[in-house]
Amino acid sequence: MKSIRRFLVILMVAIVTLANFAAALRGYLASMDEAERLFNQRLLQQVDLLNYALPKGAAAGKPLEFPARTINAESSLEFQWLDNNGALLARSAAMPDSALVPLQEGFRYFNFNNYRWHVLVMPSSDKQSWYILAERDDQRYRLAESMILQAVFPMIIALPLLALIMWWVTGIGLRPVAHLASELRQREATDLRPVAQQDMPEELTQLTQSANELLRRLEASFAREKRFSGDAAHELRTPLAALKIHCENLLQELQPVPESVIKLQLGIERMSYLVEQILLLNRTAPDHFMGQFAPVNLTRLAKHCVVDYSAVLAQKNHQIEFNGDECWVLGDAAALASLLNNLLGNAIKYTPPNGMIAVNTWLRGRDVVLEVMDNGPGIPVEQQARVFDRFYRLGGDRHNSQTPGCGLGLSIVQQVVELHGAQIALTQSRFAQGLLVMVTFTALAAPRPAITSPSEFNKLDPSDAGESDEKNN
Amino acid sequence: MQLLLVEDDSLLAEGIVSALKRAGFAVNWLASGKAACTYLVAEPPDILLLDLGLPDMDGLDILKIVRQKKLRTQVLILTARDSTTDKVAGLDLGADDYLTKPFAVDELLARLRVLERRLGNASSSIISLHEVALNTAQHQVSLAGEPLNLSRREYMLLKALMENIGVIQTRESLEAKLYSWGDEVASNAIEVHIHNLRKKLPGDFIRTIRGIGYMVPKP
Repeated sequence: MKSIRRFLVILMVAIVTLANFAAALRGYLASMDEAERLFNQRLLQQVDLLNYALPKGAAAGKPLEFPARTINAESSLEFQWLDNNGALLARSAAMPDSALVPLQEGFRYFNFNNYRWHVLVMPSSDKQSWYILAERDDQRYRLAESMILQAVFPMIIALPLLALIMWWVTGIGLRPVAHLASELRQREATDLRPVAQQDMPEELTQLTQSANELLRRLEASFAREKRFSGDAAHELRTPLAALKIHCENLLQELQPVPESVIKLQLGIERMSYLVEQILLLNRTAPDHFMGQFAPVNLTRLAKHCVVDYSAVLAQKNHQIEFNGDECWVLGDAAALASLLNNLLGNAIKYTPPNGMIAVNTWLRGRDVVLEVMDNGPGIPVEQQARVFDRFYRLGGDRHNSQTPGCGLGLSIVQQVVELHGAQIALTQSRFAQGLLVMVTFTALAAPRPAITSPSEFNKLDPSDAGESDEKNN
Repeated sequence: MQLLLVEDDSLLAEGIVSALKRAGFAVNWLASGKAACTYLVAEPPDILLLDLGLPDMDGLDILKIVRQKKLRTQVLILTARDSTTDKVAGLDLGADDYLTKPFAVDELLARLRVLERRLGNASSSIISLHEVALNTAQHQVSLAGEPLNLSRREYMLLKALMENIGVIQTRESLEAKLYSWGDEVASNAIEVHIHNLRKKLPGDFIRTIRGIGYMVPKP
């Protein structure tokens, strides 16, 4: 991944290095010229020194003898002393007996003894003799170079240090970006509030504004989607209601009732059910769930759901009972009701007539366990994971079409479970056979209202009522 | 008994009208909210069947008018909205009942009969099942023509159950109907009353739903 910080630091270090290099090169060339001038100056001074130091009256044919060189300097100076005819008067050890170069005044280069030499030819002050002074070019060069490198070297050491400082400084500079990023990262998916713009550097205001604009549009589109599901519900429910009522009118008006009208009614019922289930699936989807969590009396809600199924329960002659404690959870009542309705609806639907169904809510420490249990055929273990898939039905296409359904019920249940951070488990019923669905929520302490209604005033143990009544029978 | 149906969907409205006529109700149908407001004030019906999603105004505004003018009209809301907040808003504004589309004709008729009884209409004040007849106008119960002697609470309990034949009544809702807030209620009060009622009624007239409540089953 690209990093602005890394990019900036690398780029800046590269620029500084290049600039330094250019400056060093320019300085090097200038310094070399300067060194050349200084060295030449030194040769001229040495000629002056020779004028003073060399004895008068030296003659050709018997050159002066010098002691061997004692100072082993990096740069050695060699010389020849010649008379006007080019005959040797004196020389240093490394020099030949004849004139090294023609006797013409000035500086020149000369190759000798495998080296390149700087040579200065000067007449003596009395114009009676000539001096030839020679310095090895490579020695001179090395001396100059080492002097110049001393000046350039600290710059090379400074580069990594500079890079570290730049890394640190760009980090400070980019801190608002990091802040913005972490603020956006820590948000809940449903939190669409605009990002605060105060104390935002001007480079980021544009970005923040765009992000806020995007969030606003997203929120509007969520609201539109929510409105759409409401509108869709209305648009679908009203014609379905019309179909249903006309079909029921037909059933009343036609005697004997044609088989097709009964089939028609079944079809309408199935379609109504499917529409309701799709709307529920949409409404409980965690991505665009818009409900508000509040304390919910799960026990009372469960009983109300049982009440709503009174007619179907009586029709299939199921025995239903409730056991357990009064349990409160933090949640969305409508979503929890659709969870209960689907679990209970499944139990009623898939249990053959005269079956047994139990709904229980237990307080187990800090958990609330909701149980819906039946003595129907149950779900084979190998299929238990798949039943939560959308539109999946046990047995697939071979599903007993006598039981209408669309395979969305447990998907809705699972969404509601996810929404509440609960856990769902499918196990063996405590009846002789059948399915037990257990949903485990986090318990909430029962809120204590200031005024208690009679129904809340009497905390009855739900189990003893039925028993005492049965004794009465 | 005059019914007014306010529903903009003509297909549905025609179906409701013919179902209600067959059940013996006199029903008028209006498709717009504005017309409904005029009609309501001029000739208040006994029961108003109100759709909330009208094209020209919000059905809840019509409900407000009914309550502001203190009309004796019972209001049954018919709506495609079913979210809890919508329901609460409707009932808070004084709707007497609430039915979500699509609904069964039987369900609609059952709700209408409850509203009818509240209006004190003599012809519909008797609920009878098997041999038991409960007269909500005279607060009397008879078994096979013989008057039964019930206490006030026993009568209220039986009325609550017989008004909702085939629907389980939770113990909590029965308590709420029998006792007002602040009454001292013994923990087994409902059980005692049911026990006494059963002695006076046919054996399996009241069914116990363990842990939940009671029900008078449909024949």
